[in-house]
Amino acid sequence: MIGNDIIDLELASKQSNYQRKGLIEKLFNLPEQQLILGADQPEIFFWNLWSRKEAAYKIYHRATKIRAFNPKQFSCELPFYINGILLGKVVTNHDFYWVRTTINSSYIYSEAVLNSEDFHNISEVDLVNIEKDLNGIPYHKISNNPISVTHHGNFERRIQLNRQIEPRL
Amino acid sequence: MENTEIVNQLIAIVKPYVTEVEALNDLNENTDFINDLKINSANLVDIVLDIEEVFGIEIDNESMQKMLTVKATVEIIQNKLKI
Repeated sequence: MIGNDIIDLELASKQSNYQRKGLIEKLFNLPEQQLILGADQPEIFFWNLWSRKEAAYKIYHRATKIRAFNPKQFSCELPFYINGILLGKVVTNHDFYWVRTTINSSYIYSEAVLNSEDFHNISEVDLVNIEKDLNGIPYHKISNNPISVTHHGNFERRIQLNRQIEPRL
Repeated sequence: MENTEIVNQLIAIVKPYVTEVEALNDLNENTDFINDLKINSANLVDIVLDIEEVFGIEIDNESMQKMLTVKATVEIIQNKLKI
């Protein structure tokens, strides 16, 4: 299971006014709202948490096939920095996901997995190798590896989760 | 309110967020905001807020979850207008 989400920061600030009245309350739970409003750069933190929720939602959709616009069902725990990457959990009533996020001046990029070891098994994948099932969920054409694709503005990421190959006896 | 009247208002609401403008011409009740109109998921909440303002209703979380298609959205607006 794998999910990812990228946000083009320049485009995001044109497309959305994160300070619009009532907006933050519809997308984020109270502890998340407090984290955003208390952050040094609230707009960056807003998109940071949003991309984490979106990446986690992609795993949820992949697992359940349920499509829903339910951002408050996914709660971001406060992520912590490890080697310049933000790592933390996104939790639902039933599950939790590990999400790692990279932030620079142009974009915010998040990847979600179920087990944190899976971060070692992620690789980029070429567009030509991607096939979608009836639910629109992408897979690798040949290996059948789960794939997640994200595109926003000038940025795109296509990643696959390489399956563990069992050693031959 | 007639369904067609709601749909027409809804078209006006979603239009600024649509990146695939031609798709608006083929809009029907099965049109999906994200898959068909290519609306950014973060802008779905703007549509919800616009609907609240235009129709003078309040959209709770449970209703918002379902608001991915024209059909579901019109149903929710109709139900809220009855309250």
